Amino acid sequence: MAKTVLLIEDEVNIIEALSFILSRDGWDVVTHSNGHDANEVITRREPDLVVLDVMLPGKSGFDILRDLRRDPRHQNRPVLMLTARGQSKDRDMAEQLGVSKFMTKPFSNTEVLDAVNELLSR
Amino acid sequence: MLNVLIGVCLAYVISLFAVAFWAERASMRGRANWLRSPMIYTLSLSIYCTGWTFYGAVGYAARSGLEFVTIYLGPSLVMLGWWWILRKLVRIGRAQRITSIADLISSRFGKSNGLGVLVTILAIVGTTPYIALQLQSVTLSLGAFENSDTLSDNTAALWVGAGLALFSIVFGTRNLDVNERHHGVVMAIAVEAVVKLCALVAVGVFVVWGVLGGIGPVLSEIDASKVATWDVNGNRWIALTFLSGAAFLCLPRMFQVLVVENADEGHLHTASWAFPTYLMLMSLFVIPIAVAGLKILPIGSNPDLFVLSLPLSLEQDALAMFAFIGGFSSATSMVIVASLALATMVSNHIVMPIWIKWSEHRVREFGDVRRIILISRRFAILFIILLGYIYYWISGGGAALAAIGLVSFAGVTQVLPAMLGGIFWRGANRIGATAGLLVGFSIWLYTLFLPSLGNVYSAAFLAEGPWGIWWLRPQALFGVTELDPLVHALFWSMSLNALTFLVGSLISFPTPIERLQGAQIVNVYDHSPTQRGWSGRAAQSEDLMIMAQRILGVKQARALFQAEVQNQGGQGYLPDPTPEFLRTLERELAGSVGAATAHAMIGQTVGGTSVSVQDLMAVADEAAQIMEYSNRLEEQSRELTRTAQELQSANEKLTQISIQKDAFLSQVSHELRTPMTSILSFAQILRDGASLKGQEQSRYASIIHDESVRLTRLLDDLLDLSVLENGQVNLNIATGRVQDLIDRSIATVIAGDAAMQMQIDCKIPVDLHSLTTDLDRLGQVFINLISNAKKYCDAASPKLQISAHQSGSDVIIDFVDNGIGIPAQDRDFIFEKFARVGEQKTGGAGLGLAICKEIIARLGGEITYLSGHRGAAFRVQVPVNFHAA
Amino acid sequence: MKPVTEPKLFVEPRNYRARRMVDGLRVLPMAGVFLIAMPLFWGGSGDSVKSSAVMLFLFGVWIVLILLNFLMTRRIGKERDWLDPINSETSVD
Repeated sequence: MAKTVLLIEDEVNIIEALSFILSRDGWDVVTHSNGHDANEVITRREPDLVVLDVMLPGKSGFDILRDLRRDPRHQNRPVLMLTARGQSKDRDMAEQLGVSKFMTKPFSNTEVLDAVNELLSR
Repeated sequence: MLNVLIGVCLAYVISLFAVAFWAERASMRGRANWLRSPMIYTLSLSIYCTGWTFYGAVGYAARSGLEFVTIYLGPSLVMLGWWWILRKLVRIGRAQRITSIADLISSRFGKSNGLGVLVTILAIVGTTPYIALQLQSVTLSLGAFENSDTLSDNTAALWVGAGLALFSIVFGTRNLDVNERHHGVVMAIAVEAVVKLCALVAVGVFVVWGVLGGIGPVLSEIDASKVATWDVNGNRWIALTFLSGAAFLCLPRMFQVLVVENADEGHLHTASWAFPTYLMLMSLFVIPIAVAGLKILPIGSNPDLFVLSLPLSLEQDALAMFAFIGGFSSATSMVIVASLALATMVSNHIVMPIWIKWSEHRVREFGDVRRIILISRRFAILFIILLGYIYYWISGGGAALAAIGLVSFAGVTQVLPAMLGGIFWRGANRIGATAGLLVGFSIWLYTLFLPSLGNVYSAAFLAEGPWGIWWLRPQALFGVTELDPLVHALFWSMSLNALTFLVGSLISFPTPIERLQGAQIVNVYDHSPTQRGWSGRAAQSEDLMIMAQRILGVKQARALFQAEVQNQGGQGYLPDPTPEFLRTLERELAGSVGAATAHAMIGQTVGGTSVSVQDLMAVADEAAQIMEYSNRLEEQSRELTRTAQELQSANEKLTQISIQKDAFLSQVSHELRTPMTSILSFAQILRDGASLKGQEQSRYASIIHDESVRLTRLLDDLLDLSVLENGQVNLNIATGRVQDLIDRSIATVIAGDAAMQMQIDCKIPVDLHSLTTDLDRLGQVFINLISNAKKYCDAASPKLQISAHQSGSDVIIDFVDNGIGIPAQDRDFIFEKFARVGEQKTGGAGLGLAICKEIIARLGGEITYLSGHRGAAFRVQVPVNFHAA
Repeated sequence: MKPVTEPKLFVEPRNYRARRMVDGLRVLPMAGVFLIAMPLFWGGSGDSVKSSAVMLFLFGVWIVLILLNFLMTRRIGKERDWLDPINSETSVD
């Protein structure tokens, strides 16, 4: 069974692009487009990898990550964070919160795929 | 014999004139360095030894043994302890340019002329009998030579007095020196000092070795005489020592030579041992002469004339002549200096104030004051010597006069508490000094002076007191009967004087000038350098530096001086005290202490001059301005507080702006990167994608196209906003109807979206004024508002109502839709950049309303969100006619 | 312009010496008063004291005081620049 990637992102075009390249690579892709209930969705879906945007409506990616790491069930769940806010303090913040990998938009498709492969150690 | 005597006297006087004249000449030619030598200073102090001491000491010793020596021991102790009092007096004298003891007291207590007059009167009363005493000693000594009455005593006294007055006037009032120094007089006095010492020593040597046969026999003669036993009254011994020491400081003539004529503080160093030596030599042979006189001369001889009658009786006419000249010297030098000192006091404290008051409304010519001073001094000298002569004439030159010496001492000594208190105690003030002087002087008059005149009081008065009040008996005040009359008077006058002075100072309050003078005088060492130690310009600069440091603070003063050094192109850290620099410094100091004070301080430091009356007056005026000044200070401090608050809020604003800028950049970055991400990603997919369906390919290409358009629009908006915010926008002012503008805007929106569902209602009054403004920009705002309504209105059948009306010189256009509107909490920042309401994803970057706000502001109007409507409602208000701001 | 600061180690002992001389000068007149008053306490047992003895004593005291003063004043004369507070402050600083 293929591993599941949960994509939490609010830009429809980016969702479509990422879904396309990840599916083509053989991953099961699930998407979610707001921050409000992101944590519940993660708990319910138990994805092998979470791809998380920072600027989300309702709840920021940082808050989602923080809550995730506090939850014993998700402490070691791989999280790949993507953000359009490319400031170093955002990277520091994410690393402090325990992100698995941090990438800045725009990204090349191969970079994302490499990162996903690495995190799911295929 | 008498003719010879008078001839010798005249010759002596003429030679004195010559010496004085020559000294003045030398001084004027600037060759007076040795005139100001410490030895001359020491010798000039010898006017303490008057004719009374020259002749009278022997008489005193013949009557009461060793007691006479207290008269010399007191001044010796004062000189030996010069570091305590004399050093300070001399320093003050120079720093404050003191001209007399009355001037010192008056200066110290706030230039109080009342005190000056009081001390002057006291000095005249105390000195007049003493001058009479000198005249008497001269006439008596003349009488010792000639028993016949060829020359009446009174005539002789008159001639002597006239001669002395002439000398004093010629050499004492010839010029007006700021320092009141008289080289001619001082020189003549120094010569006389040597003459009288030599004369007395010559007589003494003659008596010891020529008459009595050596030191051993002298001692045995003393033991055999009637003064062989030491039985002095202890009270008198101590009291007289104190009295003579105090009088040494307070006698006007002594103050004149000690302080006023002092040219260099260093002279005190020499005088401090040389003058006690002089006094010791003066008294060394007194007892032997007295003993020899008692032994050799017939019983009943006047012991006061032993100095003359001993050589005469032993047929040593030349020696007697020498002794006579010695006595003559003693008497004349005292009269000259005393009359000079008193004349200075009279002219400065009595004549000048009256003259200034009298001529207040007259135009004063240059040199007028100087002329008046000289004339008044000449008359004062005449007046004082005449007063002495009259006193001598009236008292008849009897024995009563002999006792007047110590009485006179006790009188002038009343100044002592005010003087010592004044120079050592800052708390001393005018009220206390005046009260103390009056009390002391009154007690002295009552208990000592009046009784000394002989028959002023009746026997009953003396025995029972006035009106029978026993404790007011003149010679037994408060029932103190066991004291010698002199000690009694001295004890009560000095103690009550000092007590009144103390209490008066404690309970009253000094004026500002008094306090300033008090500080200047008591702390005289802090701001007046020694004369010799401060030679050279560098030292002067150093002095200025110290002063500047005290006032401006060390750092600032150093910076100031350093800057000046560089300015002058010098090295080190002290600049030359050029006039320019002094002016700069004075200005700097004036900022801290006031102009008058600064001027006075600089003057004192640089010129060694003291604070003048004018300076002091200005200081007093400044004190009056303190109130106003402090008010101004308060105002300034309030202003400062305000400024500080403004600065703080400005700082907060700046911080906020900086945070906003960061947030803005972050936002811009986000808004740019997001479409870029899609574009990049799909571009890669298309590039790599072999297995894409045609449908997918065109879809992905259109996404790339849309995101590119979004990116472009974002950049346009950002540029637009930037231009608007920086005020660089060029407005294209034109006139047009609101209706037309709105129609065009609606048409534009519809053109972008042909499938638009929204119904638009337009209610524009027909008579609405045409607008004169940038119609394109205003249309941009309308388009924005209409398309916002189109995007966000979520009603089933969306509807936008546009209405307009006139309000004064403005036109108001409202845009109200029938959607859910904007939540209250978001309304505050919808006009901010990148503001987005709710979770709507509309592809806009959130710059639209921010741009609208900027445009309307440029057009001089306002865009607001209208609450109270069900849907979203915006109001645009712009002036009918645009006015450039 | 002369250099203003002088080597401190050199100045201090002289300064100290001069100040002690001043202390001595201050005490001198008090010692004088005491010595001059001393003959008043002589001969309490009823024997009369000789004037000549007192005279010799007083003149002796006089001369000693003058000599002491001469010596101390001469020392001060050399150091006087450091004795005023205003002057000494510049050498401290």
